[in-house]
Amino acid sequence: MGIAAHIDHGKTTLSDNLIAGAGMMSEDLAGKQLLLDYDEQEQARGITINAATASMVHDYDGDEYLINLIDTPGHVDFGGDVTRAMRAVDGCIIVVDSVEGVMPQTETVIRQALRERVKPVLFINKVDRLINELKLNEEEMQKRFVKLITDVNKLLAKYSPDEFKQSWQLNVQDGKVAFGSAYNNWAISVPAMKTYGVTFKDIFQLVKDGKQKELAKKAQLHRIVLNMVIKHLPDPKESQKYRIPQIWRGDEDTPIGKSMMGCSRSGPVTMMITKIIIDPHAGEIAVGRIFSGTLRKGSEVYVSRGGTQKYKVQLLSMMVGPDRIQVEEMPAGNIAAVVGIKAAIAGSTVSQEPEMEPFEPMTHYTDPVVTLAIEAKHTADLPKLIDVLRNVSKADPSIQVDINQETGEHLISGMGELHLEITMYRIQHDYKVEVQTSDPIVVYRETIEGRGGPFEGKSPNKHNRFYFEVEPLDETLVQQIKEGNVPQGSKFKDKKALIELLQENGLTREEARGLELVEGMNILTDVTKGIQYLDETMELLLESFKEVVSKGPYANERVYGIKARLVDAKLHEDSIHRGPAQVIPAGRNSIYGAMCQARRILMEPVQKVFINVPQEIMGSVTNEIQQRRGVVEEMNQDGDDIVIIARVPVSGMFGFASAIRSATGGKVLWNSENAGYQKVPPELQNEVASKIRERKGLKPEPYGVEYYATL
Amino acid sequence: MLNIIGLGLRGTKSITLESFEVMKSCDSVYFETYTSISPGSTMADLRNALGRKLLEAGRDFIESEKDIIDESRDTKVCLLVTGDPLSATTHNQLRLDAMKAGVEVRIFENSSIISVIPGVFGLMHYRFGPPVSIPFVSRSFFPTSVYDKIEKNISMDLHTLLLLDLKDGKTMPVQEAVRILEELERRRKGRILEPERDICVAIAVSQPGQRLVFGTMGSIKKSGVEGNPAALVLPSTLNDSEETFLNEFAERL
Ligand SMILES: Nc1nc2c(ncn2[C@@H]2O[C@H](COP(=O)(O)OP(=O)(O)OP(=O)(O)O)[C@@H](O)[C@H]2O)c(=O)[nH]1
Ligand SMILES: [Mg+2]
Repeated sequence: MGIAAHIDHGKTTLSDNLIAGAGMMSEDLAGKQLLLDYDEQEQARGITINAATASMVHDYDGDEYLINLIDTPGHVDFGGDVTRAMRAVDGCIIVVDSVEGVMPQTETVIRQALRERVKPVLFINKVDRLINELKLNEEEMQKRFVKLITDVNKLLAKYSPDEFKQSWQLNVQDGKVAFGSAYNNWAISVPAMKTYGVTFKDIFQLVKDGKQKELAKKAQLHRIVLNMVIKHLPDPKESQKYRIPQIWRGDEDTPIGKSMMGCSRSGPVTMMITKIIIDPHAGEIAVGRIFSGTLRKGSEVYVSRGGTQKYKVQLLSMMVGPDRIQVEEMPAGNIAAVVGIKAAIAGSTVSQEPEMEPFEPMTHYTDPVVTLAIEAKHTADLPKLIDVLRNVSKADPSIQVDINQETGEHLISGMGELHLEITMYRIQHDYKVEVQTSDPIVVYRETIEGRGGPFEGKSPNKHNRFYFEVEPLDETLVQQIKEGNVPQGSKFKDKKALIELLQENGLTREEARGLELVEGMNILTDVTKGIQYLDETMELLLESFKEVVSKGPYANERVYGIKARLVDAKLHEDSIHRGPAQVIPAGRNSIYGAMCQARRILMEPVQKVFINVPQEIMGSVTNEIQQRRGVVEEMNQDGDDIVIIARVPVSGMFGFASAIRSATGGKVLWNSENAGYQKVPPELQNEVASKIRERKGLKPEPYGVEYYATL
Repeated sequence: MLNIIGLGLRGTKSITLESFEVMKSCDSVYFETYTSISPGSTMADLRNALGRKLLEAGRDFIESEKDIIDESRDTKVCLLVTGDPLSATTHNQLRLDAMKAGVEVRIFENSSIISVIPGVFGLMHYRFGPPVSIPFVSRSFFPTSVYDKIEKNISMDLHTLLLLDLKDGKTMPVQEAVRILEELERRRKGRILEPERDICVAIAVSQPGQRLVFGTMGSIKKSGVEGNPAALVLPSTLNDSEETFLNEFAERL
């Protein structure tokens, strides 16, 4: 199971309790040690950065249950780890801080869980604060619980898979919700009240009287929460029946398919890697979920896209935070840590069979928004830096490393300022490479505003001509791609169903049938008929499109949300005259030209910022926001404080933390989440574009229609 | 004026007297190195024979033909092409565009691999179908229309000249071409390019080191025969005289 929540709602504190309950750490330290935040930076900053795993045994009704737990980070910058953890688990405890209530990131993690068909239960945390700090009375407290549960249920209703919309709703009576204080080691649920003879009234009194220690003896958190987990969260045998069809497109009637559907420990081994840990001693450790068979130390496995190369399982272990407990074998349903599968990355499929259909990729909700240019302080360290960057991006797939082709510098992109700051710290301190970095650079996107084309793109030898039209892609279709309902790439399994879905989302019949490629949030479709040799040229046009998408015509930023339609093509009869060197530039010029005819625009990432500030100094906060091109969207009273919700471009957020601290004398609490992209204001478009181009070593003005027409 | 001059296959030795005179009288002489390749020393030999500078015209130059056309408006320009000047579409396109631009164009034909190869193997010209090019292939470019074209010739019982793509001034290695043919057969699940089918390999035709061999695809593969420039022929059924000639003129591997 996973533990997921908004930042600081108490996930790691809760995990501590469960680990201590299983006798794997001192009960006195439970809630204080934060065993799963073992990384130096996690401790220094008091937040979880890496999803960490702990396997433990719990007794229930005279039986022993093995639970694999993953504590996930709450900070938005590390959301990728939540997505990946959800692939490994079957159930999830959603933690909500009863004081803060359902927060934006609560919604995000619920979506992430449900998208993977991970069943949720709820833990309402920090109940002590309701009583001691907010001074709620018993009735108000119960009212707040009801509101919280209703809020979460609304989200569950919205995002649950259809078949579970009803059955996954939370209900206090049957015990899918627990209340408590992870810090003070107690919890309670409605069924447990009966079993242990504790009432809401008792709880209220004990907390109020400062007797939480006593309460923690009566209503031990780990017991109550783990009982809830065992009663309501599915075991792997049950969950794989409905999860496998969702995460694996292979044939369920093959031996592998059958074995995975039944979570059989005797079938062929299949495993999906969800995280790579780079350990200073053991090297690369691949962590993942075994979906079928029994993985044994010393056995040999294949890795998806690794061809016929076999890898030997050198070490196999279970994990409890930083410690690994070596085992000889581990059956399906478990989370294993493996040393030896060198080729594996997060997302790899590991199998006993070389040609296994790989698991579906894990869908991420956000792309990197901030970039740093990085170089080694001493030129002699360059090879080492390249090595380190490879390791860093392997261990953290949300980090993207590119090389700027024009300037040769390395670019490292991440989910936010904090994400990059921590990554830089690791590069300098853990890997010991001295580096210099640029100021953070915002990752923009390019798109178009109108229609363009058909635009003729000629091959260098003039014997091949392509005619593309472009237009913005319908927002509903973008959404379908984001959700993974329209898969990435050019190989489509069930084309018939896909064509239907595409038509429901704004494509014409011809466009839907002609779909050739989904690249990011962009599609290429071929609506021509009967053009000879086009079929054997299509792969090259897909290359053209990929190049266009990775480097837009305006500022060489990634392209987002366009539809390119091939409406005509003229091809040389002799294949020698229509190879890659001819076709790729021709296709590219045609799409670029058409995009110039439609209006090119830049989009910038924005953040939603939530700020809690005393009323009297509110002015300095709104001031700060406006200076950063931000817009205040909401202001709500919360006691003596004002809660401000604003949208601020990421480019304006650099240095916000210290600016707001000094503007308010430190009297603010704030957090932020990535809130997608918005148009750069029209008056800034050209200026921003030429700045980006200059940084990339390009001439400041982008090429126009005339240029692509004469190529 | 633009003179497009074929050099033939023998480097400076196959230049006709007339075209040699034209070269001497031109204001500038371009030597084209993109559509086909001459024996290594041709450019240097010709420079010595003419006693003047030669300008190299690579792919970019030919593809952006505007410059050469502009230059030909007021001056006499020569473009030297290995083999016959009009075998490649590129040069006919240049010829047309120049004419359209009001430039006078003169053509000086010569022999090319297409005209020479049937003869050297002792095969009859009229028994050949259209030549078929074999391009360099990649994961994203594997044109199976090549197979269709070969199949069409075979179905009409015609021989097929296989022209090999160029890279870095060399023709595609013979063995790579054989592998591509095998892969085409595999992808199309066909029965025309089987290991028992005969194939002829011509290396350095009309040049020192000329070598003519033939054998089954299997034995050509096994022999590892290589050379540059190379061209291949897929013979269909041979008539009696072709049979005799081929066995006499080429070596069976
Ligand atoms: N009063 C009170 N404080 C709590 C309780 N549970 C957790 N906290 C405190 O809340 C803060 C955050 O707790 P964590 O467990 O680190 O929260 P988290 O959800 O793991 O945070 P991230 O992993 O960074 O998202 C710590 O200071 C905890 O001591 C609780 O029940 N009552
Ligand atoms: Mg945590």
